[in-house]
Amino acid sequence: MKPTFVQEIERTLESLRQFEVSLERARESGAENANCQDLLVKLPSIDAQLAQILQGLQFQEEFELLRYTAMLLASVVDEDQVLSAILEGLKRALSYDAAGIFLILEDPQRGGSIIRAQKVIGYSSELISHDRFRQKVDEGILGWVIRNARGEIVDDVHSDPRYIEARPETQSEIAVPIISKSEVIGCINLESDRPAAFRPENLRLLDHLASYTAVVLDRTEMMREVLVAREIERELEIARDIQAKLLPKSGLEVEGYDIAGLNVPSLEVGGDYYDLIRISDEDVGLVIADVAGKGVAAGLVMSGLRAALRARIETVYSIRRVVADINRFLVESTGAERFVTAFYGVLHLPTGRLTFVNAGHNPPVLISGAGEVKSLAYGGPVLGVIPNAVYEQGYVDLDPGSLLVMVTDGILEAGGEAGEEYGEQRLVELVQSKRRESADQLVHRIDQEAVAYHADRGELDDRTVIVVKRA
Amino acid sequence: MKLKSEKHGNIVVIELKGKIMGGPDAAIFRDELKSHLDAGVKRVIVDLGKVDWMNSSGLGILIGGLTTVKNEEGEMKLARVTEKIKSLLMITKLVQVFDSYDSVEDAIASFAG
Repeated sequence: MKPTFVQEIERTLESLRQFEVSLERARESGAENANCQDLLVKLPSIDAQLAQILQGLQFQEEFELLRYTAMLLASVVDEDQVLSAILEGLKRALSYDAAGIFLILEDPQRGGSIIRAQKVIGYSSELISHDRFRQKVDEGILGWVIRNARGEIVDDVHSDPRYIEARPETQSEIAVPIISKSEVIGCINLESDRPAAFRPENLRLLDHLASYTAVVLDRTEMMREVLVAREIERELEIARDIQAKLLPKSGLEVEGYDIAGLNVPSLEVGGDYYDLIRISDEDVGLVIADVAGKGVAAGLVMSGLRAALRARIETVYSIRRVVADINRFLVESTGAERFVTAFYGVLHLPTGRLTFVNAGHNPPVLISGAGEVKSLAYGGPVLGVIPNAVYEQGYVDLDPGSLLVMVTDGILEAGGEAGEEYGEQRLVELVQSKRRESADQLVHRIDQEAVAYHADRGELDDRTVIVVKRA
Repeated sequence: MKLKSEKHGNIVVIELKGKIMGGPDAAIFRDELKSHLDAGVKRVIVDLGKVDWMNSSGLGILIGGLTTVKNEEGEMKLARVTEKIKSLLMITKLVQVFDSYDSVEDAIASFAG
């Protein structure tokens, strides 16, 4: 509502106008006198003065309203609350009977864009649920304002062919577009039960409020995006944690051997997996695997692989059967694009014999005590692609002083995206020159060398290293 | 990854270029294959001559493509397989899964037989 004094001045002005009319009539009927004449001359100037005062007050009201809205924007975050306050506050400067903030929305069901009420006051609840509050963009006065990206005043809605009735009492209407980043995203609409209730200068005020409204809506959208991103980030954090817990926490303490492993996940959730498993007093299981691709999907495959593998290692002693089972499991449970390269070996501790299957993994390297280098490639294709793939077992002996090194392609392909890969040759040379170091020192050294070789050529893949040394 | 398709009668040659590393590339390649299969072109040659680099996810794209084409009773062959891809196929022991040719012409001729 307008302040009482503004209403009073308006009333005074109105009665003066009526007085003016009656004086005019008196003059026409010849009943004029000097006093009347004098008053008649002065009247227009009084009228103008009053109008000026009124305008000044109106201007002050508008200024107050804009200041209030700006303050609201800075202090209140809730969109609904701010939009309500904008419409309610507007009453202080402008009298209206119904108001709404409308937004453009894609509606595939109705084929194209529609206008939907985001915040309304003064409409009956029945009307709000009605379809008229979801009109098409090419309809109505609101549609016209949105299409033409400019404000409009309609003094008599019933004589305007564009008008779609939302409340029967409405006589006049004013609407302005809401523009965000030079694009119309909706409109603000006011309706009055009096004809010609809105003046051209009201458009300016509404335009200001429309830009505030755009800020509110943009801010809500941004906050929504930030929240979603934060939620995803949190879930990824959890996935990374779970994954880290699935990997061995330390090397394996085994008499006569020095065994260590290292996994460094990339920024995302990775698909590398390694395991050091004490199968019996005499046998140790060594697993290194790489799920193609990254992200949560690869991480899920990796944890499924681990569960399936661990369950079978307990009960199935044939290595090639374990691998064939896992292959079948992965063919059934993953899409065609997802596969796993894996090396699974069982080391018989008393003899140093390693029985293994290499399922499409880059071959681990065995350097014998005498310095002879062997690649352990024997086995079969990658897991998860060929349903009835056949896997063969290979054997190799770790003689005293020998060293076995297994890595994933994150190590071998370091630097490869932009030039020559780190590759097996460099890896073998490094290990040969540093073979006196402990297994734990070696896994870290290999990783550091690959990272240094990669330098700053983009993001590195997951990196995993296992080193087994026989004393 | 960049991709270019050229039709030779009822055979389509899809030329891949650049780095093939999974991620969005997978969907791009699959959509391209689907559009040809939907149009009834079921003989596909993937020309890898201009591929700079490929990792295991990139290989996954080729495997996925092969499956997609086979499911539609089509055939997919590889042409101009680079050294890096050859070594990937060797390590993963997927050499026998793919039918590979030294040139696009050879691959096209193989369909005639």
